Amino acid sequence: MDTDTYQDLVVRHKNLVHGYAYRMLGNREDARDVAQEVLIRLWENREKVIPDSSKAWLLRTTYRLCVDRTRRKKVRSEVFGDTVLEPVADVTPGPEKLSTAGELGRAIEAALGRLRKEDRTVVLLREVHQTSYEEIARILSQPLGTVKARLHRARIRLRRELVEAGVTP
Amino acid sequence: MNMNCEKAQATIQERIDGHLMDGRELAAMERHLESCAACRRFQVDMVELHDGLAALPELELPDEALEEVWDRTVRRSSGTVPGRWRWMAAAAAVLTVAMAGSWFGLLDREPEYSPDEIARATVEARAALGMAGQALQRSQTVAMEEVLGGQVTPALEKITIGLP
Repeated sequence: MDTDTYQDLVVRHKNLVHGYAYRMLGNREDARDVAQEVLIRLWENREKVIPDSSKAWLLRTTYRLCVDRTRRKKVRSEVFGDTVLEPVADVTPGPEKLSTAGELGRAIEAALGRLRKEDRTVVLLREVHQTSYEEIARILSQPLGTVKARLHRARIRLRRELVEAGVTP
Repeated sequence: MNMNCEKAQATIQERIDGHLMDGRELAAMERHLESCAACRRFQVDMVELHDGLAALPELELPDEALEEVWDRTVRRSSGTVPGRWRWMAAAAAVLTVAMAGSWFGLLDREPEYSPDEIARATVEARAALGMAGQALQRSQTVAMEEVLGGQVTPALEKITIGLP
């Protein structure tokens, strides 16, 4: 892809990448780092990435970098005794975004943060980023049946989290 | 075909995801929903959850983070700049062309210059115009620097100095 196409893709997808990373990691600084890294990798791989499938490439790369980062933090916490980040306790988006999110949105964000990483990622990909089952299977390198079953279970868990928090979706 | 709650709830989710369903399966689910209040509640909750998730706000990447991305990609690689900077570079190049053009106008009105001076000025002006043309074509930061003070402006100054 040429420079103009790259710039267009970055402008179009930067918030998607950042939002996915933030909701996966629950930390602004990490999300920002991962988003930047993903967008830079898109530049480095611009000869290989097909613009029409760039959204899937970006989500796949974001997912992998989030997993790497979580794993590194986990190892670090085991060595240095830091707090383990998983599951993320609170991915509330901050006051500037909350005003538009509403109470249900806020409750959903908090409940998402309490899901296990594996559950959270399928819900985010399917429901927030409107990714197809097939694409999710490719992103997560899992069979289609596994993705469907995981998504169904994750939604049920999310609903349970909301009910337990006193919020009926 | 009878359906239990587990199968009904999976089918409800498939339908929410927009997947086409077998007519018999759909009918069985509807029959199950008629007799199962829990699954009816589940269906309402799932639809609301689906809508709520889809309505979550975008989380904007801060501008300074995006600027760093440009610095480490397009700007570092080829000096290309996105958006408004490209237009500024092009505008500067056009301004330079206009300045050079005004020199030709002056030359037309001042016939007292010697043929050598006119020839020298013409060569210098052509060089300046060439650089400005290249700058306009590339639309890059580097080009903007050339136009605004690196190479093109000194070339024009040379013309000024060279003429009486």
